[in-house]
Amino acid sequence: MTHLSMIPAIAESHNVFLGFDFSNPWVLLGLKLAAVMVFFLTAPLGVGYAEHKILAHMQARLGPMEAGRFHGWAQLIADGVKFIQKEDIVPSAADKAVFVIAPAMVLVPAIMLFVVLPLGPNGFWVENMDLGLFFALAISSISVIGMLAAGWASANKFSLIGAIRGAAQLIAYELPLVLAGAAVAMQAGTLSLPGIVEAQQNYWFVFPQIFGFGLFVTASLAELSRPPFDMPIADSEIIFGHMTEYTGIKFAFFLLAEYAGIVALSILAVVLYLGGWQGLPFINFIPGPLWTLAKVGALAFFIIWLRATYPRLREDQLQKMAWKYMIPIALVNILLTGIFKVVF
Amino acid sequence: MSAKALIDHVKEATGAVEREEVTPQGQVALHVTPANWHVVAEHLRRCPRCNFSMFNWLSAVDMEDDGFEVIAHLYSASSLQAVNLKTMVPREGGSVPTLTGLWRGASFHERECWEMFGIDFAGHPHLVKLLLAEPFVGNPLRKEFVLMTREAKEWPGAKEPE
Amino acid sequence: MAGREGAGVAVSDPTMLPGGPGEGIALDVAGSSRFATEEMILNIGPQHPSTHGVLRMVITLDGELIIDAEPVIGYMHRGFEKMAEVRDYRQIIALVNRHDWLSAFGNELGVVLGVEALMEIEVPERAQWIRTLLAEWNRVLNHLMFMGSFGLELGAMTPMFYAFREREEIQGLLEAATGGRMHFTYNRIGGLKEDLPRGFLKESSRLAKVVRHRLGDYEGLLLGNEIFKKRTVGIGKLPAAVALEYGCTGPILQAAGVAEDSRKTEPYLKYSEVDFEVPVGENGDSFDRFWVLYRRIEESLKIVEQCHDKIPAGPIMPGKMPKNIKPPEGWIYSRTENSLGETGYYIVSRGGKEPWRMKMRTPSFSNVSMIPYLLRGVLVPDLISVLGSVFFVVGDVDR
Repeated sequence: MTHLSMIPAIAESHNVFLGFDFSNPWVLLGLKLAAVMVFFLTAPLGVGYAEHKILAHMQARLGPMEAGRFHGWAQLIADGVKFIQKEDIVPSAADKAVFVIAPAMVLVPAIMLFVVLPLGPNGFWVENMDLGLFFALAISSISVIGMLAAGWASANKFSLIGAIRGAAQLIAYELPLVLAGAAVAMQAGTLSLPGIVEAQQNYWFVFPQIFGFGLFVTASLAELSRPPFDMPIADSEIIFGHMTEYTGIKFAFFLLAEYAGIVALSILAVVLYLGGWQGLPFINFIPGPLWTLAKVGALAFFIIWLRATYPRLREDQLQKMAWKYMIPIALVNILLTGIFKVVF
Repeated sequence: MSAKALIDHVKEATGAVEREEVTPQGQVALHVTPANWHVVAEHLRRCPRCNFSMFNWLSAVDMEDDGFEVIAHLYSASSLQAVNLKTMVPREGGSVPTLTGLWRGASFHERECWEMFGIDFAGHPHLVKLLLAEPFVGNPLRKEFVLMTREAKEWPGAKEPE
Repeated sequence: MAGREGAGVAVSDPTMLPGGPGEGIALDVAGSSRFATEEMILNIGPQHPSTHGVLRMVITLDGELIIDAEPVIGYMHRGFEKMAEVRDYRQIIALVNRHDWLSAFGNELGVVLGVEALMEIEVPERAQWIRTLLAEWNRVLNHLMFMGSFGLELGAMTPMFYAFREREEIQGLLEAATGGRMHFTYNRIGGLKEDLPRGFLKESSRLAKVVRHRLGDYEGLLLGNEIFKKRTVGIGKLPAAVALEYGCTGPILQAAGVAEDSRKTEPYLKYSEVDFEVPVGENGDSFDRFWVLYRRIEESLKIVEQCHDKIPAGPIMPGKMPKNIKPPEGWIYSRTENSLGETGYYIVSRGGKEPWRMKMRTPSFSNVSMIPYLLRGVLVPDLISVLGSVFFVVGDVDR
């Protein structure tokens, strides 16, 4: 880990490290994107394994115990291998081109989201865009198209119902997400994500923006179709929603995108509200990225805990909650933030 | 209402009870003709003293040469009284008026009785096969419809004690 | 639901039409009739995670609103009634375990009580008390299963595991006595197969305390849960009169407000000598049905605990029973309050060792016939909530 955080310093001094010329910005970019892909492929596995184990222990059972000998740590890797070697089935009535492209439409935005997320101080990110927050929220909303495409192309009525529910839900919950994020941007004075973390030097934004935090986390759950908002995938009603007809690696892409989304939106929530890499002042020796991962882990635990506890809301109750309650609260939140910004 | 009182009341009110029966265990059966089936049933349903609001089940028993005995078991949740309304129909072309106008629950039971015995229920809105598969031919619960597995092979279980 | 009746939509069974509940959602029917939307026919089942087996519902949808629902049953029809005509009464006891497999003991009871009444056999006291005890444990088993699965269909995964944890222990207890975890075949005409093993009553009282203590988990996870209430209160309201017309019995009828429970109204076994209540719901909606289930478990545990104290010593069979059971000519309808409702057997005997006719009155058959009534004007997610709350087992529906 340490040599990664030394990259910017090395780049400054025009050194060559391990055969890579870090002064070349293209090399740097390539390495950073490789790091993103590695993180993208491993972090969701971690969250997935944690979900297996946490749910299991909450439900009076053990969870994976066999794969990898020690408490089944390799379960998701085994699942990945299983998915890769499965037969690729495309339903004969399906719209083949759209059917095949849909997982990509969901996966690529999820990967792109990691490009702007900062994990630590001093350049521990891929790109510090001035419009970081805007980019993050915009790109995360592209996956709706993938969901609709998958549901329509599957030639299956259950998938269609799931996709339509998903589209309605994701669009409805974009607004509270964006409005809550906008309030944070106002509070910090910048849209750049590292900048927002820097602005939380004195106090984390969760304290003045407590309602915004609640809205952001709730809206993230709805964006990810996680319980209690998993109507689009309601597996006791519409089998698996838009993903019903998918098998093998395409199905794995959908799941990967979902868990990567949990990680990404958790990092976003941590960055916006929980102080990002800022630790508690008296424990200085723990590096920033570990703080971020610890906070992300806590948030992921909370998300998994919700899955174990709550049944799912019906679609119209969900929509009512978004349009009648969450958006007005978000607007009031922005109003109050603005007032306090001006007054204090 | 005791069994005797119920029987007397129905006989008096409808005049259509052919025969009554009270078993040693105290269960009541009223035998009527198919023509009076609906009349008596309607009385049992509508009369406030009887108030047989619960439709329990309807089925038939194969009485061989005598025909089929159609039985409707009704229950009154208010007087905790049960009654078996019975009628006899011939083996071929037997028909009984439907009770779905009085109790909606009769619908499924009559469908099953129709497909199992071949008894027609006149006026039933949707008399299609319920339990049997669409291409199935025959009425399984008739005595002449033999259970093929038993015909093909003797029961392989424990020896019958004699 | 004013724009829909007589809108030229062909409904499957016109007796089901008038007076649907349609409550729970107030939708803009007038607005939606401006758009020429096409209706979609959706098949729920026969293979579906929520239909408790192979039940198929053919649903006509307008968006997510159900206009018509027709249950298509018979996928599991095995011809029990025909088979019963070629089996003698000992074999029938093993046969009837299998139509409502979640309350197997209660099914057996119906047959043996009927034959014993026809033959006027006096069953020993001890056998009657043991039968009461095991019947109540079977009821607890069944209700726990439905509590778990109802939560699962709404998306709450955890109560299912808790329910099965309890069920494992109870099934182990019943296995110690009867040899079976699900199909018991423990009753015999006249009494029981064999006496209880040593230590059974002690284990049974310990387990009753444990299960009662753990019932609190369900209260927190489901009964008190905000989202659960939102999904079930006011959904699938069944008025008492309609329930009676359809022949619904058991928890569904009790939730609709009618305190009809044959353990109280026509006591059999030792139910007149134990103290218990029949929980009655107020609104007849899905939440009430679930609540009645929960309360019935509590009352069953009460009966179990009373049985522990009252089982006398003594024989379990009335002397030497003939090997060939031949009831005299006649008929009888014997009913028991089984876990899902009233299970009855109309047995016609002509003096032989097999019955001339055995009609099985199963609670699930009547309950399922009532589903189309509950479903009109309801949204698809509520379909699942309603299906989960109308307790049925497909083997029971189809026999």
